[in-house]
Amino acid sequence: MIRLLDGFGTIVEITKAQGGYFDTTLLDAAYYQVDEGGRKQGETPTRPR
Amino acid sequence: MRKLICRLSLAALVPAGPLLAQLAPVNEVGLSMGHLHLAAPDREKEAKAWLALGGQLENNLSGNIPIGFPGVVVLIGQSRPVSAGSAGSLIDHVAFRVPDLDAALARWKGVDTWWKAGSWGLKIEPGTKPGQAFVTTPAGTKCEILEDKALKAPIVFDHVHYYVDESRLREMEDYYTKMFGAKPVKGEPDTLSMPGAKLVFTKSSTPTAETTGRSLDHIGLNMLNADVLKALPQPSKAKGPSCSGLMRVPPWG
Repeated sequence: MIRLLDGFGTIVEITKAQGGYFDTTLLDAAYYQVDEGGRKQGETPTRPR
Repeated sequence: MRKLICRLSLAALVPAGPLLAQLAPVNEVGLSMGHLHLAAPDREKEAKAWLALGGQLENNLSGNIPIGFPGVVVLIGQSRPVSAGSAGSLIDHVAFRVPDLDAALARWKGVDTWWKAGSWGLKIEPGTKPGQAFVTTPAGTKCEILEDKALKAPIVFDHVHYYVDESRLREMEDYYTKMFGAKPVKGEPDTLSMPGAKLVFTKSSTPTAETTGRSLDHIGLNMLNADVLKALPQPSKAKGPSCSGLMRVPPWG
């Protein structure tokens, strides 16, 4: 995300994958979701729990 | 057969749901209209007003209340005082289109029964031409409402309206064209088109204030991926003071 001062009196914020607000499948791959243990989807635990 | 008739009857009774809101596909630069970032002293009250306008509560990806409309998502930040409404600032107002203006205004006036006269906190004012009205939200964001009888959705986003000093009007239009790939709209002077929204520029005889700190704090664009930023004109190469400031850290996230 970047915030751009347009020099005329406002800011234009540029953010990727804002379609995720409407549909989470449109989220960027880097926007992962973690479980309660802090693991990403598909990630195996580093130690038995 | 009886079951079939029963099912068809039930299907006819269920009203068709509103069209799912979403952002427009990006342009060749990789950008489209993204969000309106609002501030409000009472954000729950503000959110109810935007929901009454026809928005839908969307996925909560941040600390903001996300309310979606076709073409834009309205993000209402944490409750905080605002310096003023949007009118009188560089972004004087934003605009939406509805298929039936009278019906929409009647809905937004709220309920009026013998035991209670309730409103959504929306201030409704008539427009200056047929098929136009203005609605101001509780925190002061001014919305122009335009009637478009051909519209299939209950409400869609239409434009962001800038009021700028006459001497800088052309410079500002050039900036939005070069930076974001906005294109002039044929037959509509001082109007640029982005996917999902138009950007309308009007000369202001009086100086307009900065938007930061007001109810409509700023707007946001949606980008396809981070490579879009590399393609943006860099401050040292781009012309004009408008490209002088790039910062990456938002003060409130």
